Amino acid sequence: MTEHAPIPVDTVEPPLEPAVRQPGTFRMWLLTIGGPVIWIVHFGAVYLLAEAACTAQRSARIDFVGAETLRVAVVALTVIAVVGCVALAVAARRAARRREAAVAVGVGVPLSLGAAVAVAATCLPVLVLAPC
Amino acid sequence: MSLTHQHPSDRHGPVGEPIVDEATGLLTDPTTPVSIHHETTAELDRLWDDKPGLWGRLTAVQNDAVGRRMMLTGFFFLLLGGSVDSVVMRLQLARPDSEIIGPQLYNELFTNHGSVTMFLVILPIFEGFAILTLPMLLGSREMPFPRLGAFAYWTFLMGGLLYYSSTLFSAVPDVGWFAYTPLSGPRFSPDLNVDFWVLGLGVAEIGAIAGAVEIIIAVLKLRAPGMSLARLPLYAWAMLTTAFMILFAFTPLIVGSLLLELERGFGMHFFTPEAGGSSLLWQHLFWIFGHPEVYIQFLPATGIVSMVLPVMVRRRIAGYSWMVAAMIGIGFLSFGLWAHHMFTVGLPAIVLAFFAAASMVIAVPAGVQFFSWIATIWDGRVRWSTPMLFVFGFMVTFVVGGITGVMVAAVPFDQQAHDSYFVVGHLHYVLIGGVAFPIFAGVYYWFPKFTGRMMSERLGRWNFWLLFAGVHVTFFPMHIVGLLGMPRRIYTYPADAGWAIWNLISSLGLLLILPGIGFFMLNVWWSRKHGQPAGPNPWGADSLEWALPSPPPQQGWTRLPIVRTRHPLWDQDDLHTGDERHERLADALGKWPLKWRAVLVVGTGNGEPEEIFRVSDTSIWPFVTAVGTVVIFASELLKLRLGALLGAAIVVGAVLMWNRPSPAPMTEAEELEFEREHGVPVRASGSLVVARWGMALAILFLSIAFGSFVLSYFYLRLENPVWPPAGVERPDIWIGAIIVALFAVAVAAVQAGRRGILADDRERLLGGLGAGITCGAAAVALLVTDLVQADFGAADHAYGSIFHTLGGFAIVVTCCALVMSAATFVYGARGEYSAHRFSPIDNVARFWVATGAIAALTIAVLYGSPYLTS
Ligand code: HEM
Ligand SMILES: [Cu+2]
Repeated sequence: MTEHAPIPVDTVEPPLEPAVRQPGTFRMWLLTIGGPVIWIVHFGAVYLLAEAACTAQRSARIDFVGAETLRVAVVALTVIAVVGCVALAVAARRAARRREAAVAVGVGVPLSLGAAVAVAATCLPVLVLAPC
Repeated sequence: MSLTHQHPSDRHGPVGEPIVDEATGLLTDPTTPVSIHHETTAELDRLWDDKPGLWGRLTAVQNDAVGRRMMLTGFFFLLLGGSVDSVVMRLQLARPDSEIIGPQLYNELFTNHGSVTMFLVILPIFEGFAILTLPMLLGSREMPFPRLGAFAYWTFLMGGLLYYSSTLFSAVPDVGWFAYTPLSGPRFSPDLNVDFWVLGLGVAEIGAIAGAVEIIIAVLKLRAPGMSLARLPLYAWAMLTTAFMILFAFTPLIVGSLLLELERGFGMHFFTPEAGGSSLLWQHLFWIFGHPEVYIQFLPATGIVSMVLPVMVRRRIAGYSWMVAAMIGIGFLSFGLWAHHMFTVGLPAIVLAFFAAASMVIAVPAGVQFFSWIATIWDGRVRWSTPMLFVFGFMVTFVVGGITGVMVAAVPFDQQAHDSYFVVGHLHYVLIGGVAFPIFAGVYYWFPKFTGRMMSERLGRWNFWLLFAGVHVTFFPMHIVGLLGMPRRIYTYPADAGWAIWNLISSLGLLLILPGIGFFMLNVWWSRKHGQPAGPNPWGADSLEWALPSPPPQQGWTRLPIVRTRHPLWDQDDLHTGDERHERLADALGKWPLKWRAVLVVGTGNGEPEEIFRVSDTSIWPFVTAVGTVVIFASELLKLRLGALLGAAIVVGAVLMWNRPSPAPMTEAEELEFEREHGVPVRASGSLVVARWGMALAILFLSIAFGSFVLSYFYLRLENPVWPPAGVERPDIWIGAIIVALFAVAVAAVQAGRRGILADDRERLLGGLGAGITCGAAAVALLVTDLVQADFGAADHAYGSIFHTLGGFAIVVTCCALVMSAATFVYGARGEYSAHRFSPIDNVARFWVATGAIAALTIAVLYGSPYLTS
């Protein structure tokens, strides 16, 4: 426990800009819930892509995105997302070693790894199913 | 950032047995620390109490009052809607070809039963419970926005009553709790029934969101010194996740309900295919809310179990971090499951697969939670008191419901089981086993804290075993009869279908459930007066609230506790020693201020003191705002458009009164002096930090709503090959550009005004605000003109409807910004702000940035996308 870290308070000294945001808050949350955020963004992206491609094909008979393109796009997005999740897990692990970012330590690693698995699992079907 | 890994301490460890203290005659665990006596307790108790009498009741904002009322209201609606309806339905279904009630009444009953339990029961119970307990659990004195809490309560109550008033007009909603279009549209439901559903529940949904904002900020900012995130009780984690989910789930539902009401009341088209709409759009919007909603109910329950179970087996929870990870994981995953309620509507195969996969993945975090609980039990020694019985009932029952959940997550199975009694069996196992049992556990567990008396164990056992047996007898046969082919939502069935015996068993189960509930009510009623008197810690528990007297004084903590471990009552010898700065601060706050309600704000991650602020006190305006909200919705119901305007005027006026600056009880110089002594700023005129969080969440809420509108726009766009429809001009992109430019100037001007006040220059503040108001008003005027002059109406086709609605949303948001700026302008001219007290200006400036972004994106979508996508 870092007993004597300076207390993060609003400064009322000039330049009078409030400094409420503590250093590292963003980083802490990134390492903690970054994985699930990637998961949800990826899920939204592949879902919307598939929905758009298939609806366009069905109702308007325009090939918005062809079946093959859709498949490639989904796989590409999935690879990127998995890499991102794993990278976050590694970063969280490192942060744990340096004993910073309290929550990220215990929570970030399982969450990021779980997110990687979830991303991959969500998109497994695209390899075997016909898209629309 | 501080982190203490768990040091299993053997000093007294979690093993002291509660005993009856000889001196006081109270049941308590003498080995755990209690909050120390303070001579200011009585004085603060009076300061924090609400006023007496009827007026006092209407103006009450204290978290005790609000939380308790919310819970009682939830239970009240449960008795009204949950029980009578279900008894009548089960009576009707007990025998084949039964004619006790007809199909219309049956439709009304199941609609009412589902809607009430999903919107008006579990939600207020959990939010009320959080509002009641969180300050004590976290070592704080209040919730961040007491008036917002009061508003949440009044909207819940009034929304529920508005919904229920449909009975008086014999227009009871009858289209199911998910109100699918086109059945709920103007064509098939021309009467007021569905309007009651949309509008009554709409008011309650606003209350749910208000409550969620309170809870998020309370958990993140209002804690005891030293309570870092890593020391947060699991219940707080659960409520934090839940509250975020409420924000993300209820907002799309409010948007969907708005679209439905526009279609019903104003002849617009979002869900009518003939006019370019899509009935599936409603299903998407509903289930984006609906699936998270089931987890919104489930997560707080896991939070309660994670508090009760470790105490009952006297072991620290196994795998705290895993538990937190699982809760957060469930929170996220639950937003990727909604279409598993739509497996039979003909979505593309690949989409089905995405949602099926996600639905199965969610079993992983749920499993993690389970193993963590089981490991905790394994390691400990179980005390079979009533709360633990309900935890046991929860675990057994929820496992079955979870398994059937994974079964229906498999597309081919679901295509058979969908809309059959199998689903009814599943959902009651998860909702009663997974949610209701933990609520009972929580009531038995925390009852002594608030009443000072234990509930009767004897009655508790009867309560539990009858209920447990009854639930299984009632709901297990539903799986079987569902697999035999019985659809849900039928009012009767023929004798030769082979379903009779299972239905009879189901109905007989009620003979166990009803007395079970009866014993519960009897127990509550009896124990309030006659239960064994409880001391501070009758269960020998580990979390902070058990250090307070039972019942606690109004302010809860006279002297704030100092938290050094994750299980302070087990691992600390006392709650008043620790970091020297914390000690001095806690000491100072116990003695001062005694004239205004002071609350400590801590850093989100590390729990270090960050600010002391004056939390708002009693006020009638939340009540008036809620009344105004109901007036808007009720006028819409009765098609009184002028009434809606009146309601809007009431809301605007009341919100302005509610938030008007009140004279600070300290001068700036005094504030600075305290800050110099303790290193923590004092804000007697109102918080900077908490207000900023409030604004951030308000902006988040608007962004989610905006996102829902935009997604609806593009969903409709995809459904229509020709966009805009033939014969409709594309909007003039130059007008759009001018509007965006005006918004940009307005935002920049307000920012300049903000910088002005930070340099203590009032003229610059007023100049910036004035310029911002002028340009913003011009932009709105231009947008309104362009919408009015369009060569299509809002009721012509889906394109026109969504165009006007999205444009209208941007206009409403801008009007909010204008009203806020005008108010701050007036207060600024009166000299309310300075370089030290500038929080409202700060928030207005942020709101303008959000407004500008929303407006610019709206223009891009409305004016730009027809060029790009056709
Ligand atoms: C392992 C987790 C779960 C999975 C995979 C799952 C899956 C499903 C599926 C696929 C359906 C749709 C069945 C159909 O209509 O054909 C469903 C319905 C339902 N589930 Fe679950 N579920 C799970 C957990 C829960 C939980 C925790 C709750 C509530 C606390 C819940 C409450 C409901 C409700 C209320 C419905 C019925 C909605 C309606 O049609 O009216 N489920 N579930
Ligand atoms: Cu679901």
